[in-house]
Amino acid sequence: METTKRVIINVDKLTVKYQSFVALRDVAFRLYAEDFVAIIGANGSGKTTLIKAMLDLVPIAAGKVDKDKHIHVGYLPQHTSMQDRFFPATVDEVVSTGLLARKTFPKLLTRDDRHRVGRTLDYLDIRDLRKKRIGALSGGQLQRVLLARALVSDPDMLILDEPTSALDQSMREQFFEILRKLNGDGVTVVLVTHDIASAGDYVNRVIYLDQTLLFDGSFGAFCETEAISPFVHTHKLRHAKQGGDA
Amino acid sequence: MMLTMSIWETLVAAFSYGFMIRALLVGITVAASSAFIGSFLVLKKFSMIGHGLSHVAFAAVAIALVLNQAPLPITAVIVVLVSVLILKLNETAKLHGDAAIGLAATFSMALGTTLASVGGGFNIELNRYLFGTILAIRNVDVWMSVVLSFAVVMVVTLFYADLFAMTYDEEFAKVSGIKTKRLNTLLAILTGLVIALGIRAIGAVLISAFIIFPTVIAMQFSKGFKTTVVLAATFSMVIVFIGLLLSFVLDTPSGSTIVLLNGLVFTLVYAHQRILRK
Repeated sequence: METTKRVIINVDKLTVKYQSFVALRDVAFRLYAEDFVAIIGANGSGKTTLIKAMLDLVPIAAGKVDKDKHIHVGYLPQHTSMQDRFFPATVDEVVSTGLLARKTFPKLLTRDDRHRVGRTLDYLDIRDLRKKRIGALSGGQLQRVLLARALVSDPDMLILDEPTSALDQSMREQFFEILRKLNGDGVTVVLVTHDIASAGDYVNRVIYLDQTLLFDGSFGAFCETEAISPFVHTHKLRHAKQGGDA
Repeated sequence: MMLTMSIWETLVAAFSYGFMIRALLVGITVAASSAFIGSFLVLKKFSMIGHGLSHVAFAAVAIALVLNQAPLPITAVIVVLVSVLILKLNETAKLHGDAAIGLAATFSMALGTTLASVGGGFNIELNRYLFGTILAIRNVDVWMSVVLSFAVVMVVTLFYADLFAMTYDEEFAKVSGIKTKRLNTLLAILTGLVIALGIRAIGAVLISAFIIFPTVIAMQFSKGFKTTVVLAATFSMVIVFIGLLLSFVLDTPSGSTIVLLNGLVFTLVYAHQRILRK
């Protein structure tokens, strides 16, 4: 994918192993500023490992990931890993941790920081959750709170792991609209998803993995690639159904 | 009125003794610092490190007694080192936290028991560290407890934002540029210090109660993390105060009275909250 846009992440022959299991092998691609990318693949195909390698969260066995040092990244992990019903923290406290990336010791929160948290909660229409205990939220509410945490520090790039897995269809569309708006404002968006049927209408690029990189291109081109049948079928079925309904 | 007078008289009588004032000072400072650290440990699902390290402290006291040295400094150094070692085993040897703690605890207990058997004459002294001797505490221990507990609370306060972020979501904290390995090491050092301080007062057998109970009691009330930390420290200090008085009145061992009171408060609070939620 040739472009004149600025490269912000260069993944070069990346291999990641968990002991003897090869999770990713020789994956290479570049991410450009303002990309809106869906990373897709079956369970165990290495999608989450890829974004964790991009975030320096897993050790790299071979190859490298070069990141533009000036970009600030917001991260939204899979919400299922964050669902501890008993953890005593308010939404306000959790979202505020998103500000720490831009703070220096002793990282005290100012009045301006609190306003910033409030504005982010307003933007995502969840200000009413501000004083709630994080464990009392529904999956969809928690997802939006974690998005607020990722957004509160005005990131240049957002990396999201299965962000719509806990959402119903209408909330999914709302969520993607938010991402589209952010991308329109210049934020690079990378999301791991099973839900290419929904994401396909929003992203400008699809990366398809099965331990190694099998496809990297536009969603339209991806749909024409018959070899990648499960995802194409899902999408075609949805559109066929919509056509039939009409 | 009679009852009020009687409580007042008991208070005056109890704190007319120097040893009770020393016990109170050590008790509330160790309670506060343990609760501060405990909030992070319990919520990182690392509560049992206190229990494991208390066994290590038992072995460390035995080593100090064999070497005929003052126990506290040697215990502090050994417990802090083992605390960091447990953390590193967890990170590098891919051992689960509870397995690493179990290894350290059982090995230390075996070592302590062997040393006690070989060393002979210091069994009584060692016993004091098993069950604590808060009423027989010396001035130097009081000062050490106050200064070190204050230092622990200050360090936790200074690194509070990063510690909270790491406790809630370690991966996100790393992505935010927080040096989580260093922070975990700091937490391990502080935990080791608190345990070493606590065994003189409350004993190796019971010190982990100071780490766990206050946080789980506070969690029954609070929605927020900061409130949990502050409430845990406050509850713990109040329980130590009442527990010491009760042990004075009832002539029961102070350490176990305080822990029993913690257990009673937790049971009542838990039952109350369950009834409220229905």
